[in-house]
Amino acid sequence: MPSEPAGGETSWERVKEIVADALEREPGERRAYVDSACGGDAALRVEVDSLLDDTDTSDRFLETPATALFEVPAPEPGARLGRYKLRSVIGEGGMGRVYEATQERPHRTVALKVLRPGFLAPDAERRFQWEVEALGRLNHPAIAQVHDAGVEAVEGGHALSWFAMERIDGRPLLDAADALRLDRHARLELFLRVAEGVAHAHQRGVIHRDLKPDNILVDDDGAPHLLDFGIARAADPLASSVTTAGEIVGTLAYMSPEQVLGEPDRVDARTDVYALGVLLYRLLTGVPPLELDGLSLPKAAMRLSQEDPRPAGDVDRSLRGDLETVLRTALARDAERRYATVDALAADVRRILANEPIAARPPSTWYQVSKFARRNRALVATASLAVLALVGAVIGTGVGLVRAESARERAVVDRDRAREANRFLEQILASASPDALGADVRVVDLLESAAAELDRPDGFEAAVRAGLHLTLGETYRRLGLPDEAETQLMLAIGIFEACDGEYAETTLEAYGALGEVAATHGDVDIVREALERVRTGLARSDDPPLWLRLRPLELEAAVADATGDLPAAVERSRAVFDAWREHFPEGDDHVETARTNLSTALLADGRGAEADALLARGIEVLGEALGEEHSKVLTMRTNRALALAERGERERALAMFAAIEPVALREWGPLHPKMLALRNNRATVLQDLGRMDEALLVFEEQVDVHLRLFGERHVETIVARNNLSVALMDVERYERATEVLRANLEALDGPIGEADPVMVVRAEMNYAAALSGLDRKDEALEVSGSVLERLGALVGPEHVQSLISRNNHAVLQMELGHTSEAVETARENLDLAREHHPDLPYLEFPFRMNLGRTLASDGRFEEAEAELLAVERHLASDPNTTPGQTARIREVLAETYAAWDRPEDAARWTDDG
Amino acid sequence: MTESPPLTLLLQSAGDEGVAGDAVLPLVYAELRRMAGSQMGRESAGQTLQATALVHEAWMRLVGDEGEELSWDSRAHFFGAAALAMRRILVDRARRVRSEKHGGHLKREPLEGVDRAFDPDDVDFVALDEALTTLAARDPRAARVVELRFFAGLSVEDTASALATSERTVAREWNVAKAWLTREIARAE
Repeated sequence: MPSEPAGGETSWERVKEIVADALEREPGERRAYVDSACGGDAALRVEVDSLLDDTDTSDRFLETPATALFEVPAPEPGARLGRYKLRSVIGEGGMGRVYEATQERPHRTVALKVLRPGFLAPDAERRFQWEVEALGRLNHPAIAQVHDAGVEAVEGGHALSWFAMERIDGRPLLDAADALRLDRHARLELFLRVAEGVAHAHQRGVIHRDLKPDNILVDDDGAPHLLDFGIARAADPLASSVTTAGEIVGTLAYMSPEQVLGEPDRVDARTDVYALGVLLYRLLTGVPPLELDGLSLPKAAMRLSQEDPRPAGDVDRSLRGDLETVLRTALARDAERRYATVDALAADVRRILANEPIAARPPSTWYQVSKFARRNRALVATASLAVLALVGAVIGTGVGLVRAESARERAVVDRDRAREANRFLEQILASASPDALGADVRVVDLLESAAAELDRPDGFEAAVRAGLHLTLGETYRRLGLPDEAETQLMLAIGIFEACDGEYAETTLEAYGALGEVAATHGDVDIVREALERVRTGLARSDDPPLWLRLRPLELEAAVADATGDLPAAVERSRAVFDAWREHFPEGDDHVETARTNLSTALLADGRGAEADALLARGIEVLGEALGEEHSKVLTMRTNRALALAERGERERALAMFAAIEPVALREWGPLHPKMLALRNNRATVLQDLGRMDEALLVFEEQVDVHLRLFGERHVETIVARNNLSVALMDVERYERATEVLRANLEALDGPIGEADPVMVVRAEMNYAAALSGLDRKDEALEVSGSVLERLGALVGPEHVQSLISRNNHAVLQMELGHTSEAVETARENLDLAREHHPDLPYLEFPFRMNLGRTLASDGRFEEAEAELLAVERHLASDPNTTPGQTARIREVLAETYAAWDRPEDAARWTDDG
Repeated sequence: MTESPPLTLLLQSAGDEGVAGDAVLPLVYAELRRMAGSQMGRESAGQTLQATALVHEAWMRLVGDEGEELSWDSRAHFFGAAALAMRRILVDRARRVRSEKHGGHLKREPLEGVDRAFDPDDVDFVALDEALTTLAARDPRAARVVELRFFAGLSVEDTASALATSERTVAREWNVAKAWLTREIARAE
């Protein structure tokens, strides 16, 4: 299309047209065409020529599409890779081709798998070898051994990676199960052997990621062999320089939703749990849980992420019940709801084989951490425990992987997840300043950073975040910081409610934890709210797991504990223990946890003998299973020593503490919370034995350790000081006690509104006692007034603690000569006790007696006489009356008649009769 | 749980250019990478897949039979994304190789038994990428043709369909674009 020159300008359109026209012509005709097309336009001509000059139409420039770069021919039999000579092709798979190959020295035949080629990243080979070494350490009869691996650079910057593996002769799992005519029992057992192999690898930090029947060969003896363990992951670094987000490795039918959705960050041990779930489903039903055949990836992904698998019981009615539950739990779309570990899945299958009830609740990691916390609630929480729990929680999101990492530093871990967890921990650790000791970091600071970090917008996914909030809440609770604990648990509840629903198990679990915190806080309203929610949730659940069914009882026990109703606490704790005991054998975690809690309630209620018997059995069972020196058993032995002490067998208790301490020191270390608790308990026993100097030494040491560990103002330090002050008052060292308690009150004062108000009250109560002991009664009365006010606001004026404090307040008023006020106080107290605690008759004795005393001090002897005689009559008719009580009321009656100037009556109560 | 919207939905909404592009790209990119890596295992020894089949297979795998119902607009969008993805993969790799070799060109011995008149690996992808970017600023359609033909491996016919134009136009654009790129790359050296 010849045209006139376009002025002095060379328009691209014009140039393009001429060049395109020219190139459509034969090379020989082009010059003539260009001459005519450009006319006299020299600039146009220069431009056109520059484009045509470089062009040679025979040049194949860009003619072979870039996609050809990805085509790398597979090695032929006869080729060599590393020390191996390829013999024949024995299999093809999505990830590559498998050859039979021979190694010369030592001579052996292996299965050699050549993987898809990928581009070599700078440090790919080193990382690859690192991963492969980890695979080499897998050593389990159900895992085909990886002997060797390598990377071979080939044409085009590609890398062929290969693995030399133990050669297994066998049939794929499903075929083998059919061919061997395995019945259901045998299929479950075969599955267990597979699961054990997978669990072995997980314990070493290796995830399979591509579990499917084709990767599990069953030999003629019926033994399964897992192939390709960790290979998907190991091969990954070879292609890692290009973003791996969205990359899909695996076999569609066995892929978990997180894999299909291309979320590599979320692939962890639970991905293998899912694949094992599919495998078990197929083994038992013969059909896949979700039909994905023939679907495109997006459709399959949509299906996997939106549809629940068909309940196994719908396929085969005989699978209804436990097996269906196990499959549903293993195949949960949300990994958080799956079995957290393959071990947990295997344990339930084993229970089915043994006709035992399954742990129906999917034991996600945070649940286990919270269980751990609950199990240890009898113990004093301190820094290392809290940090441990946190580390456990963060890392637990990668499911046991980092446990493997710390045990075997070079194991392959699910790196992305671990890195995320490490980042979290590092940031927390970095932000907390080491205290004077250098190495110790204050746990409260850690928690604060952790809480802040969690709420960053680019932080964790919701489920993980909620779980961590829950753990933080538990940790705060154990540290005696109920306000922080409640904040964290509320956050967890909020997320769970939004993600899972108001009555989802996760939400209910968090509510349960909140209830427990509120109970320690004396916040009975919140406990009731939690109780209500859990009850409603329980009622709405078709098939509530055992833990949910027992939660109300546990919360009731907590309420009873908080309101001082110790017999009720014992009763509920016993019901919980019995229920677990009914479903699980002794030695089971649930059972032993409930046992510890029951023993704690019994100890609090002064029923040391029962606690002793209970713990003796626990120690026997767990000791046999875990060994006498196992941490859990040591904990029980510590509690048992306490129980002995409670029963009055203090020398024996002391001997037991002495036996435990060196072992515990080795097992736990000097700063471990359990160690501190143990020492504290020993001190208490020494105190009870009247060996005050030794006891005081331990108490002083405890304060010192807590100061270093937690700092001046921490609740644990305050508790330690409190204990010391009580011990000091016992030996009438009021001066020193006052000093120690003043330090406590100063620590609790000021901008520490977040301090547990119960702690403040306790410190003040003791301070009042110490001042009273120093005969500084005016000051004591002032402090006591403050105590009453705080308690009223905190737990209500009718709370048992308020009643006791008011009683003491009345006595102080009386001693200071404020007699009419004292009477008023004592009467109010007795009325409140009668109105609100008719079920607690033992309160009547001290309160009514003290009302009598205050009346007498006010000169109202007739009224005093009436009250005191009523008390005396009541005590005389009550079989539970102790000799001490009888002696005391007689003493008071004698004093009163003496003051009334009625010496004969006074004498009547002084003598017998 | 976060969900990736299915590709077909993304493509259907891709009518107005670029809206869904950012969402489509990672999917296509990932799939191509995966497939690029898995060719070897599928064919019998010594053979490779047809070059253009790679992107078509990605299409089938990602979209499947639903693809029949999709308009050509959507297909064009898909192949555009595929081309762009491939371009990124290759340029990234070339940059890496370059940084490893401190600017040296990478020449490897051709693999025995594979006859190639032109080895795409002879292309300096970084220079090509830069030249193509310049071309796109001057002549977007010509650049598009290069992307579809070279990076996505589409035939002239398919490219014409994707761009809703004639085969002749595509051939002309292709010729000019190659000439222009050849000159620009030569000048840059």
